[in-house]
Amino acid sequence: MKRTNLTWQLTGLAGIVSMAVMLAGFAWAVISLVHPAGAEPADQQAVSTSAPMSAPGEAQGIHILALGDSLTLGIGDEKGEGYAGKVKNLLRQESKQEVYVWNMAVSGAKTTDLLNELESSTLLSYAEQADIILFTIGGNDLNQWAMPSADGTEDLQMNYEEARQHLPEASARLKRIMAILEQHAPKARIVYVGLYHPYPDNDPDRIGGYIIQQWNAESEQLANAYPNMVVVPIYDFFQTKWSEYLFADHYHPNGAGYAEIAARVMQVIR
Amino acid sequence: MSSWSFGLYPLVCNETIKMMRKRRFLVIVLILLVLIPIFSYAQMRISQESQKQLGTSDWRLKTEQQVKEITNRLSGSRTIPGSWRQQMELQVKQLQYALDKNINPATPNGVTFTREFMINAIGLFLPLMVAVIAADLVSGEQSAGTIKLLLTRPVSRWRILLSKLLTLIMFTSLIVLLTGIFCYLIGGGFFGYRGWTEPVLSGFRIIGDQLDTSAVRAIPQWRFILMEFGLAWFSCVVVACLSLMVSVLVRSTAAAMGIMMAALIAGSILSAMASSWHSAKYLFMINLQTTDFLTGSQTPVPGLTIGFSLAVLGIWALAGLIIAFAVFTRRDILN
Repeated sequence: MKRTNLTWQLTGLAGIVSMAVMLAGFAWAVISLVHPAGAEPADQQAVSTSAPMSAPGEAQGIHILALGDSLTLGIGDEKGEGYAGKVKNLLRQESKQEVYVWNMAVSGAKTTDLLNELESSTLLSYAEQADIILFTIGGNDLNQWAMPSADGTEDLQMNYEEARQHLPEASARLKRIMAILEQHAPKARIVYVGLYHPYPDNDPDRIGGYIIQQWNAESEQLANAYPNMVVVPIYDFFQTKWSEYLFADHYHPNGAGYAEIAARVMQVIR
Repeated sequence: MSSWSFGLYPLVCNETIKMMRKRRFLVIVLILLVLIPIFSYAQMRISQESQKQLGTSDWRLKTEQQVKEITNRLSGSRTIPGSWRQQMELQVKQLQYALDKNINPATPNGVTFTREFMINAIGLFLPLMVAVIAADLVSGEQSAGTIKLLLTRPVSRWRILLSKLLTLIMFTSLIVLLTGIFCYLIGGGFFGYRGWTEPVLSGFRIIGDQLDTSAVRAIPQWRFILMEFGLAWFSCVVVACLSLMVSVLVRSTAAAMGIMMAALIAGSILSAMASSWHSAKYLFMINLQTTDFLTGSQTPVPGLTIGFSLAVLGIWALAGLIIAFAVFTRRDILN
């Protein structure tokens, strides 16, 4: 009887205490959710309460910052690695060091998007921590002039005239991007991966090819200003073996295509 | 003692002792003690994995990477259904807000683990636990035949049922509290015991499909957890009341438990589909995720408010209790 009494007293007490705690929490929640007024805005508190930012790159190893568009993201790669992921694997094997990739690419990004992001967000603090910066950009700037034909057939209608007209603005933004990256990562190896022609079969007069080559040539000249920046060309093997290296969407590279890009990148960063 | 407690005190005492003797509560404690370490371990693997990928524990980098991942998933696939898309967009906005305010949305510690665990447990896991202890309260006595011994005592029937209800609410509270304590103790072993005063962003509201941040403020994590557990507790009490009703209506414990489980599991399946079936918002199961209002997540049926959800839950619980008491006090006990 004594034992049952103890059981009751302990559980009863614990039950009543927990009930009181929960009821208090519930009441508090309802009050502050129904009347959120009187709350001080987050900004004022945040400054005093947020923990100091720990320095990135604290782990030993090689840190790669990958920026740009879907190519850097690796869309089309069956393994989802993209060239950045493949470079990571290759570099880890060769250097016997741990390699970390901070992939900040955004699918569909144009030069304006990357420029905006570099100017507004904290990406640059990671650029300062990175040993290698890889980036692709510009493909979507040119591709926006490729419109699926109005009748919905497979054939793409390229508005080459528009693309040609807007090329100077886009490359001016590329120049700005390169300058910002250089300024914040003067010691890092910065690699810009050039453009390839995704529709060689749709370009019988090779006008598109000419525009892309113009872009690539310009990017090489821009990068020439900085000793630690290189442009890696990939136009050539996509020209000869596009059917082997393009993904089913006929726009992005496939795994094999990304492996070739990674091999090229490796030549300049090892 | 019995003069002010309507003679309930000895009855509740009796019910509590019965509850402990039946070992059902012990089983629930054991389930918690087995599952929480598993979840802690899984959580640890996830954070280790991201640490391994990024080579840093900088939360900003991790959060920024998360934002990019969701953004890319959103732009990459046009086949994401509207409600998911919206959920993901809201998530991006919250993460972005946290970055802007420089407040880590998930500091890795035992307290954060407790907070996250409760958000994930309240939809289904905890209600199931409550249903397990509640389902046999009356039906168990009926199938065992002890109901006759109970009802031949010179105590009115409503007092007996009320004592069962009070005991049930007590144990429900205990389960919620113990879940929190175990999470903190076990999760703390994995991630560290500090973090009660870490700031958490609370007060995100969803108006239409927009995230309203005008009422957002940083509150200490202990306060967030207290409010979160309070809301979760309310959901659990509602499930307890409904389970008690089923337990009165059905003579077999297995059937009572089956009915409650079916209702709860159907609720979690419906939650995934309810975004296009709006009248589902009157079902209690759809409204169990009361913590959504604290975290500012999209509710299963878009546009629910805390007042509406609590009212629906309250009405269901009240109706359940009225039915339970009406049936229990009038029914003939036969075998």
